Amino acid sequence: MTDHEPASAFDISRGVRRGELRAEQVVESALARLDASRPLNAIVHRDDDRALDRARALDRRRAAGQRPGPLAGVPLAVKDNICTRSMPTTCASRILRGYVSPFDATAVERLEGAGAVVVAKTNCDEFGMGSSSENGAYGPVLHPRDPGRSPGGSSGGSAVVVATRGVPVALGSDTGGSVRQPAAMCGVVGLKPTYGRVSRWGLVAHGSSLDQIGPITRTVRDAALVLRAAGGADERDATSSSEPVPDYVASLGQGAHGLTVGLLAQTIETDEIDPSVARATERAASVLAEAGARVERVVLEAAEHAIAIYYVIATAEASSNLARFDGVRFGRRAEGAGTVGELYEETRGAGFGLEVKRRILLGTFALSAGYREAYYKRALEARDRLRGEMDELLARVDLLLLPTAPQPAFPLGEKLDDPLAMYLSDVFTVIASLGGHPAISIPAPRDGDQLPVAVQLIGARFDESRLLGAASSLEERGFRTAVA
Amino acid sequence: MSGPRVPREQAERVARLARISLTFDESASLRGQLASILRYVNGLGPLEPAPERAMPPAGSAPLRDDRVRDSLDRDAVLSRAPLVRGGHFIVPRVIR
Repeated sequence: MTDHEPASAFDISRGVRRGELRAEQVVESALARLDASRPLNAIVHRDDDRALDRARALDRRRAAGQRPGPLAGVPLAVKDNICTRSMPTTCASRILRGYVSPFDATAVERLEGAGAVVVAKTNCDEFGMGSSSENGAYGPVLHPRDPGRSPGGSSGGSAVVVATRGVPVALGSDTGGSVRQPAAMCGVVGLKPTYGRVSRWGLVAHGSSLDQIGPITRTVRDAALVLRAAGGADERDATSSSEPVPDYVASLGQGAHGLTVGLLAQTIETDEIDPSVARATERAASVLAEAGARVERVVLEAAEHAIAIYYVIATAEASSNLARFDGVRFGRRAEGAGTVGELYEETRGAGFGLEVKRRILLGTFALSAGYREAYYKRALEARDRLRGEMDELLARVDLLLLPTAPQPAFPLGEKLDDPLAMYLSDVFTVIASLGGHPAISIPAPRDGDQLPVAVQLIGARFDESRLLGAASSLEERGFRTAVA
Repeated sequence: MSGPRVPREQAERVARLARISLTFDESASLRGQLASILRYVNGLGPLEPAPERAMPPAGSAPLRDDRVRDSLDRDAVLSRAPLVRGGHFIVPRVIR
């Protein structure tokens, strides 16, 4: 990248629309930067020829006087569990090795329709199951600041390519925090929209009542820009919402002035989080107050059980969703099976990694006769209580403030043999997932070589405008992606 | 991992239900890990009498317009399967 080339999607698209930048040049330099970050293992598929062809076509359209779209020329990376026709979609799983989807996900279709150019698919935890990007068939993604650490997960590759300036925008998927937590650990912005805001068509299902596609970006404005282009009803996803998509970019200027922000006291008044995370959250509270928000300490009692609720519901849904991987219709199959039953068991035994098996077994157990009432039904009821308490709280305050992750990036392998410890790294992100609320992770200011930490804001459903406005206010006051 | 494990028969039953073959080592480590996760989940406490039916938060699903649309191309779908013949997915013989 040349030093004068803009790093944000907003500036790139403006430059391309005005004819000050050529999309081809932008995509070429993105591909060169992705080459440079290869050792981090963030990318699993690329199609440079197609990306350059699309960029040239955009340049020709603009030269012919046509409008190239609000994301014109923006290089886009897409998590490997979001379907693309142009490149394989393998969910970082052996069971889908080489699989190429016959269709594009709606989010991809809409972003490319707005002028973005898909340049790569990013590495992740297998089927989005994990919090460290170590559980995939392609091997672990490495943290850009310290290759001995995890970049978080499951959308670790997407966070890394944005943090290393490979691309300004990457799509991730967030079931229990998989966009926000890696964004936090890599020091970039991660947005999980309201459940139903972005179509899930073409996102390989993990937990269908929780999954959302969300952008990882360097700026809040880019997150707003991408959400505006990707959001909205889609008849191919019956759970997508017909709620109108406002101009999120235009509403950024609303800032935090006049908002009431509830600081979730219990999340920082505990010994179980790193002191740097607690300090960053307190600092965000002061900064929001300086920006004109009223900040009060609040308590969300049901959050105490959020991890337990999440891991019952998410695994139950996963065990059902992943039943489709049976070696018959797509992906790999085990050779030599004598019966259909053996075909299923051997294909799935050989094709899934250990974490995916663990979750399928846990979910199958939670749904099985004799245990369903005690686990799945109990978790659904506890989820209802949590949602109710969150809705009451968000009727009283506009936004909730809490950390994104309890600690900065942790060493590779540290939690691999202790799944419960790994699950607990999602303790602050699963809250918005269970409630279906929008949430954003914003990098906190840091000193010197300190690893990134981040804070999280949660908003009322479909109130991304206020969420992004307050995030923008924090960004203006130092809660922003570091330049390097 | 040391400590309590899910009994072998129970783990085997769940693996059968899930249609997943496990190696001996996988089964041994999963039995311990599942026991520890289930102990944690049991912290949810007993069921409370709930007057309302618990439902996932999907909201009300709208009905689609009743009109003909293109479906995925059959050959494109079949070409992604591991084994096809004569326009069919091939599986091991079911009826002997």
